[in-house]
Amino acid sequence: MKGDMGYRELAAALAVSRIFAETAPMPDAYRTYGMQRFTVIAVSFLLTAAVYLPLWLAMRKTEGGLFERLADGNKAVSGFAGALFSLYLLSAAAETGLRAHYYTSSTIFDSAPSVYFYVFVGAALIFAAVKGEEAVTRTAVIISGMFLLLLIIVTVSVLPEADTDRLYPAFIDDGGSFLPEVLREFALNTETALFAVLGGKVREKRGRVIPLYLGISCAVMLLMTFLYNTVFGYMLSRLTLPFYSLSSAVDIKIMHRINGIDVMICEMAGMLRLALIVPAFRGTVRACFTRGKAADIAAVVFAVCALGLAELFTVYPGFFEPMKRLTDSGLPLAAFTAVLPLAALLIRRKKA
Amino acid sequence: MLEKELEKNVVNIRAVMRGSSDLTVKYAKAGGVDICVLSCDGQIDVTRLAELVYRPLSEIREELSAERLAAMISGELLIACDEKPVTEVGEVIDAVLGGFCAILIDGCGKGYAVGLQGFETRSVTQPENHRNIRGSREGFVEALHINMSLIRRRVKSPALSFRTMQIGGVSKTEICVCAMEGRTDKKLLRTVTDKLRHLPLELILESGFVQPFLEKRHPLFSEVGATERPDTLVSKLYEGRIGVIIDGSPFALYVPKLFSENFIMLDDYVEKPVFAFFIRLIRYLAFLIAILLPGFYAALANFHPELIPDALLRNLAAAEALTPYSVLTECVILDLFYEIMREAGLRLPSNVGHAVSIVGGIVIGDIVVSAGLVGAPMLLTIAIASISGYIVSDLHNQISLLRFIFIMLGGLFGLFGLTVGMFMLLISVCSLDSYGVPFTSPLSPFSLKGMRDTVLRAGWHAMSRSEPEIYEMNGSEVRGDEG
Repeated sequence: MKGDMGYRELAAALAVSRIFAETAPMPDAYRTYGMQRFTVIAVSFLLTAAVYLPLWLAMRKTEGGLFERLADGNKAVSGFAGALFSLYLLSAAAETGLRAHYYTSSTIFDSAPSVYFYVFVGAALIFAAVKGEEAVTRTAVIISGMFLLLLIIVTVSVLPEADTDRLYPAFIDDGGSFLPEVLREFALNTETALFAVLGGKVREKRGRVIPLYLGISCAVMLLMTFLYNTVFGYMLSRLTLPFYSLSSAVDIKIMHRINGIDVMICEMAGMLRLALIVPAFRGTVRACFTRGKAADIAAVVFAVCALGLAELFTVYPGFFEPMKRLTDSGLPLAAFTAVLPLAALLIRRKKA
Repeated sequence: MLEKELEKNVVNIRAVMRGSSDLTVKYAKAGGVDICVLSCDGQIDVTRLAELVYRPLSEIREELSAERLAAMISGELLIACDEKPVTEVGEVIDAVLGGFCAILIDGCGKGYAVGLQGFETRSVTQPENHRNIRGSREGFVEALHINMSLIRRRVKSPALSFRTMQIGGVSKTEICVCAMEGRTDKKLLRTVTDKLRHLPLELILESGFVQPFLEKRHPLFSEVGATERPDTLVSKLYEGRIGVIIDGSPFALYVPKLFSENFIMLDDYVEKPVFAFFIRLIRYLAFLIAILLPGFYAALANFHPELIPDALLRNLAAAEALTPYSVLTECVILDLFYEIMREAGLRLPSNVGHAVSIVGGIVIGDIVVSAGLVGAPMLLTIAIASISGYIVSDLHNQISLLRFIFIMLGGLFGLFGLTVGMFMLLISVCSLDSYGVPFTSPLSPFSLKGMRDTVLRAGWHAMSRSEPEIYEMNGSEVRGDEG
């Protein structure tokens, strides 16, 4: 089932999606900076690369995604795994909605009821789903270009404020928080799991998608951390909206601050993340359960449920905590990118 | 079938033509045989008719049989003409209406159609819409054969081929498909030719009638290009595109067309690359200003004044405080007013159009501000956006509509509304494929080779080493999508 998606477009889409998770935090969550943050990012990306290896092995010589391969081997296993994966995607979609809403409502959309936000995002999401994954990944290239331009403007503008004396030779500041932070960052790489489904639709060289994604995301996040550390310094090492705060420091004269523009670009990245999750769900349903119209209807129901859940979690943030604790542990991601591909390999070997 | 009896044939032809008064029937004798020359008034060149048909026929002195005369006409007399034998009444009529004259011979069941097209045409002039500073001043005209010659004069290579066909059940419009052998994808050529051949229209008066049948149903953008310039069409053909020229239209169509081509002008290639790059950047910027500036202004003024510098904010607030309407209402009224003026100026004769511009732009514009109906900053915003829209003339209609949509989104929902609108616009544009080539390439999917002539314009030394072809712009191999 070869698709028409280019590997570079998918890598750009995944990178934009990951950077959204970096710029848009969960409600009332602080992001810690300092020298340890460099190490956390580097280690979490190494960990992601390590757990991606089984997925790469499982998808290497077959067409289609991981679930097509599983379904070839054992329908029952693929059905069970598909159901669990759908739940994981639902949680990721709800979390993305929640992050996007929090970021917007804390910055440029403060006066409007949250239901407006979700209705608008839902409309955009359905439009994106109708236009297809290929359109979404091509859009991602343009959004990534916009983000890159923004990042260059921000970097050039705030560099005079940057004080490299605030950097000091240390890798781990607080041993107690290091591992949970690494796992949290690792768990944010939902994009690797999305690749397990969407990777099947890549036209050629799909083995390059995740290395490209990891390289781009890691470089951008390290640069952002460098800016936070050198501009804000150690005293401001805990921020709720770090990128927004950074762009607040930019005065390009035509506009007083550009922190409305950064929210616009990051919001588009957020919608893009949702627009990747929905086709990933549809792909899972198609591979594990049913093909045709039913999968499309399921995708619409999924999108409505995800945004409905996000709205619920916006009103009652406590409801999301147990699910968040589970996803933050990194276990679901590791299960879908490492354990499941190994199972697929085993089933195939047994069948052979 | 044509009858042997001349008069019967003429009667049949007149009957099919419903006695149309532009059918000219001239009886004569040649070699002692009764003949009849049929033509359509105004479709042929009468001087050439006299020189190439009447004179040779009248100079036959010897007595001939009908069959011998027919052989003589086809073999000796009409060798200087585009000539074809006709054996059916329908063929005779098609030929006569297409600018041929038909010679029918008494006692012979066939005739000869002689191409003497010579109708009045507009002379080749400078294109109205795609003007340039340097380069040719020639633009396409309405006559197909003149347009074909304008192209052939620029490409004297056998690789360039023209295929003509008739479309339109009633209009029987002649169209020409042009392509360059070795550069055009054969599958694409077949697809386009098939689409044209099976066009369901009875009447084709302009290339715009054909265009919708070559493109996908996208509400805003078209992946079929239209140009008035032969040099532009030639450059497109050279890149592997397919051109379609339609008799009666001074606009030639070409496929595939990419979004970035709206920002490329022929003048870019005669300027220094660095200047071409600068101008192209200006065009992209102007496009963004044209669609987003008023919406952005409405969003900032209504919802996010903190983003505006203090000094400017004070001025804006002072200007807006004097007007009775909200920012959104002002914006919508001014934009609609501008569109009305534009439409009025477009359809009126140019001298009256200038008067409309003066009355609308200066008199009304000045009065609405001094009367306190709209604020000067809002007027300025709409004026800048409108002028920017003229820079990308091919996208003028799209710009008008998008500007209005973004005004509504920005004015009602602020930057968040603009964000959702931009996201949906990007998705919509990126979903388009133009005959297998992504509409947004080489920006997305990104192609470094294609980028040499998109925003950047590489120098001729670099471009002459390997000219990019259209199918290299999709970031990978030829995909053979048939659109």
